[in-house]
Amino acid sequence: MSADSVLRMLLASLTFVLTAGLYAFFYAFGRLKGSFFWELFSFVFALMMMLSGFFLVSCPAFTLFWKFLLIFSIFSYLIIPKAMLWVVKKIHQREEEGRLKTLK
Amino acid sequence: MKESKGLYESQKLAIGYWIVAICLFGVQLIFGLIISYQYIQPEFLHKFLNFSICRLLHINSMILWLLFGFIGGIYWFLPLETEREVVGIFLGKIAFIVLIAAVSIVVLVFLLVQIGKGEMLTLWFITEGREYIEAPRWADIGIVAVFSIIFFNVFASIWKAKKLKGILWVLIVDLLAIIGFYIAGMFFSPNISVDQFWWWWVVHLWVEATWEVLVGVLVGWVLMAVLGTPRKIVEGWLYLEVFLIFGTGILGLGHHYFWIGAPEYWLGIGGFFSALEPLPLVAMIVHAVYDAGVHRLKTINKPAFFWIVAQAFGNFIGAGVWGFMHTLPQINLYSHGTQLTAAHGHLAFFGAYVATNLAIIYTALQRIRLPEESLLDGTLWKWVFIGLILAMLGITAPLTVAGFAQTFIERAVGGSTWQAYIDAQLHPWFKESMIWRMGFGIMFFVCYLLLVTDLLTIGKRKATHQQ
Repeated sequence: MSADSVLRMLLASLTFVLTAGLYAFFYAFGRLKGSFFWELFSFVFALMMMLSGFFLVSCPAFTLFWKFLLIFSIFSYLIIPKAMLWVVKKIHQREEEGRLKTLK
Repeated sequence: MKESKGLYESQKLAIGYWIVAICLFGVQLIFGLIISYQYIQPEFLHKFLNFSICRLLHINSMILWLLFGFIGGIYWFLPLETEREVVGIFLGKIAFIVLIAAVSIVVLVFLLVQIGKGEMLTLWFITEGREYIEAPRWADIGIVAVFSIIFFNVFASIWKAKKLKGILWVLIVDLLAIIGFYIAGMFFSPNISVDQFWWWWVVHLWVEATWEVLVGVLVGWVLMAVLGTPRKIVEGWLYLEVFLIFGTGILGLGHHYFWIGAPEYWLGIGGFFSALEPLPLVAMIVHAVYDAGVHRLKTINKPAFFWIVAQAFGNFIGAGVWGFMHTLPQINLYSHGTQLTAAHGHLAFFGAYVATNLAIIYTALQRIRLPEESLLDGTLWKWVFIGLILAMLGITAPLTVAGFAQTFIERAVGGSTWQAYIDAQLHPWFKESMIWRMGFGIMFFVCYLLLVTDLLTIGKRKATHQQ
């Protein structure tokens, strides 16, 4: 592995999680606001996350096991904002139902 | 028993813990400034106060002030949860005094005995010599004893109040884990691999796992206090967070086992779980955005609210982004132990723990200084908030650049030779980064002084005005 590719891998790893976070942020923000624009904007970061992830996958430093692991990570980070928003909404919904029951 | 001011005895003890915490925060910063200058001028205080001792005191005072802050948080919120005075509070007060005395003695010994033989006497009475947990064994036993007392205070109070709520359950189990994992760091083995194996249980599982859960408990209480978030929501989220943190974090420990002589399978285990470790932090962002949106940023405590939001994002950026950047073994082989680790450490501790402690203290200040449901706000805290965050980013950015220089020049190009090490240290990317870091360090210290001023005055002027 060349010295340059070590630096590229470092930068790709940094971009990978950073864009995963930005995707989560704008996705949740867009859904909360009911704004299609912000939701669409979040997918720009999702795409950047996937690109940096697949750049890592293409690096020869990673063997097959690591390539599978990275692909698994890419899908996990793609799913987590949607899944978490569902969970958070459910928790809030359940609490609201409980509160209404108590009021009755 | 509640007094006329409406504070429980344990809440007064909490204030004592926070005063010491903020003083130790200052000590941490002073030693941090000294070592940042020693990077620029290595002869500074040479043979009088060596880099190794200043670094030791910088890191240990950080661990201690954060712990003091957390303990203060427990003593502040526990009587509110159980609606009664904490059981065995006298014992808690004794533990507080013993802890301060022990810390003072340990620091004095560190300063007075900087060089000595590596023998059992040193291990018991001067230093254990393990990075980050250098305290001698007698002090280690003391820490375990103090936490056992805190555990007793918590458990007995809940038992007597017969109010075992979800958050308290998590706290009880976490306190047991805090005691247990700290004991793991006390084993001594002449085999460095075995020694490091257990040492990481303290550094990773104690600091990164049990502390994260404790912070989850404390943040839950702060959210209920400053945003009025319903208990069921806080509890539901806390369970999920604990599940995710332990699910990814326990075996994420493996990323520390890459180069200590542990079996090869740790590369795969450590890499796999480390890659997933930022997941709970991403999830936290989703929750923070949702909750902030639902509440429309309405709060009765502005500084506490903003520090809690900073906690969610800071934890993600510091621990998640800067952590993952160099966690895969193929990358870590080159970046291990460079300034990238320091950048990650600075940002993660600031985001995850400093922000939490400041939020807790501001939450308490509102209760102490203002009538119930009054808004705690001001101008100075905003400058402090922005200043501390900018200064911390300013410290982290040059450290990252310096880490890149080390990874590239010293490791990847130079192959980790002595000459390559010198080349990297003399490279402008490294040298100039150290000057920038020092500059932002001074800025951070100035903001700390403003923070102390704000903590001493916020809410007071408004109260006088209202009178």
